[in-house]
Amino acid sequence: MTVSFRRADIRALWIITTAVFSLAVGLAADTFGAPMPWAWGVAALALPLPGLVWPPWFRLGVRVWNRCAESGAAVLRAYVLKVGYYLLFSGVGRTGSALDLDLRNGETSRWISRARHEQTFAGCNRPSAQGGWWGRELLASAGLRGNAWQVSLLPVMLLLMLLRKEGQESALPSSTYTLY
Amino acid sequence: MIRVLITAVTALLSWVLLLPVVLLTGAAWLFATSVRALGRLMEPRFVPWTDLMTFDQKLGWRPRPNLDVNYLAQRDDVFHIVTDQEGWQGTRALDDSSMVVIGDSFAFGYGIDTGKSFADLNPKLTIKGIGAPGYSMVQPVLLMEQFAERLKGKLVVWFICLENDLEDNLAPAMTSYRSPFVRPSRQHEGWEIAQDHVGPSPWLSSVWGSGRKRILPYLCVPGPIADRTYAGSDYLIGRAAAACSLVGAQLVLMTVPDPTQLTVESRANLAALSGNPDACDVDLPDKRIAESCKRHGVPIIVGKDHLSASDYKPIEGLHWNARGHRRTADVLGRVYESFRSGAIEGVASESHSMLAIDRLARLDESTAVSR
Repeated sequence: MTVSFRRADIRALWIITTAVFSLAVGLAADTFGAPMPWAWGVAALALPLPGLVWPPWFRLGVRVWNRCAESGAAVLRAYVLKVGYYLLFSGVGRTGSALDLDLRNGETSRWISRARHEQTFAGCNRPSAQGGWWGRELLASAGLRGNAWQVSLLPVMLLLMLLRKEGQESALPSSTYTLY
Repeated sequence: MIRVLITAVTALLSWVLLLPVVLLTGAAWLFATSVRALGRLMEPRFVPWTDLMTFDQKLGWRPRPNLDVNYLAQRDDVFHIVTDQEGWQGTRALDDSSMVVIGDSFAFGYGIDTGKSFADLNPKLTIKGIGAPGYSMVQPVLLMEQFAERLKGKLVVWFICLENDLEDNLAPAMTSYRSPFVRPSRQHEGWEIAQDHVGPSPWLSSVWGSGRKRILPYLCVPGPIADRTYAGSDYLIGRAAAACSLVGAQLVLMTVPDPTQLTVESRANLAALSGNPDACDVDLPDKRIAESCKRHGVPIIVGKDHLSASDYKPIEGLHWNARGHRRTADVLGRVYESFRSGAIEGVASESHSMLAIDRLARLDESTAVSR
């Protein structure tokens, strides 16, 4: 959800921010019964003006957005994980889910050795591993007997995907060193 | 049945608790997506790098001629590039220029629009930038030998990027692209440039892979790695000096520091990465290059004396920003004045001692006073 520092993206952020801000101020002025609410909206268009005398203002706007997006995403990610773990998993787990977590007779651990794991899962046909949508795999698993509860994970997974930590501002991968 | 009921209630409750998150995240995602979409609409279309570069049998690769396109710089922005009939950046021909700046991506003007780089900021100076991303010191030497007579009477400023040029001199490929390199000669004592392997087919033994790091930290510590690297660059400096001297061109070398050499914190980090912080001297690359320049009678400008961390792009972290180009243009202007006044020749011939720009600057001032 971060924005890159490409000049076009900086311009786009300020255009959209100014438009949204102007609309919000105008609507707020109207809601609070201010006379000429449209004037408030127009006045809000002055938001990017400092950039005319101090150009770093525009990059600052992107930096502020990115920092807010990263901090907010971290907080929301933690919240989503907590709801998922303490509510969803705990609640469903108490109903005796088909995750098969209990130790069977004679077992002391559920750790699977790497060799056995490869034997067990080597032939697994995972749509996500083939570049397919991850949700298809989840839905396919939820369609199996006893796994219907996994549908409730879809919003959690979707939110975690949207709130994932980005390494840097998103930008198209460059190919500078792909020469010929 | 009870299980189903409990599962349904739990799921519903969690969805209700997640609803504010959904709304907030949705709004933020919509905003960011709109920004990106509008940005892509407003941004000029750019071409892939395969449209910018072409194979060259001697150099490994070179920019294509007569370009007037946009490209996306790595971890950076979209920039406009124009090349001449020979493929070098800018519309000005080499023969119409009084100064030639030769090197790698810095000389190419990577990461800034053509017309706004150091080569175009001084209206009193006609500078031709000759270079391409990925060049080491080898390609500039070959170019100086190739241009030969065309450099006669000109000032040739050779940019050497300390972050990668010294190391890449010794590598037979840049990623999978075969490039000429230097090695100890197999026929005689000394070094040679190896070019037989250069061809369009990929180099399959590249040391480039995931996790590979540059060896600049190790070049700051005296030892066999540093010695071999500097021996290779010494040979190339000697060869370049001979090529320019033969045709009556004045060669000046300018080291381009890596941003990691420019702040206290990054220098400490560099020392830590070197594996021998006590012996690490972040100025060692400049010192060793200066020794070579002294040996071969080439004036040197230590870029670190003129550039600071704020002259580099903060995110891309390797190339100059607009301010860095202005600084470099200023330095080149002063160098050219020294060249025109004959002061550089004086420096080069004075027992090959102290060849740094501060010496040039003092000569500039003394020349200005005498004028």
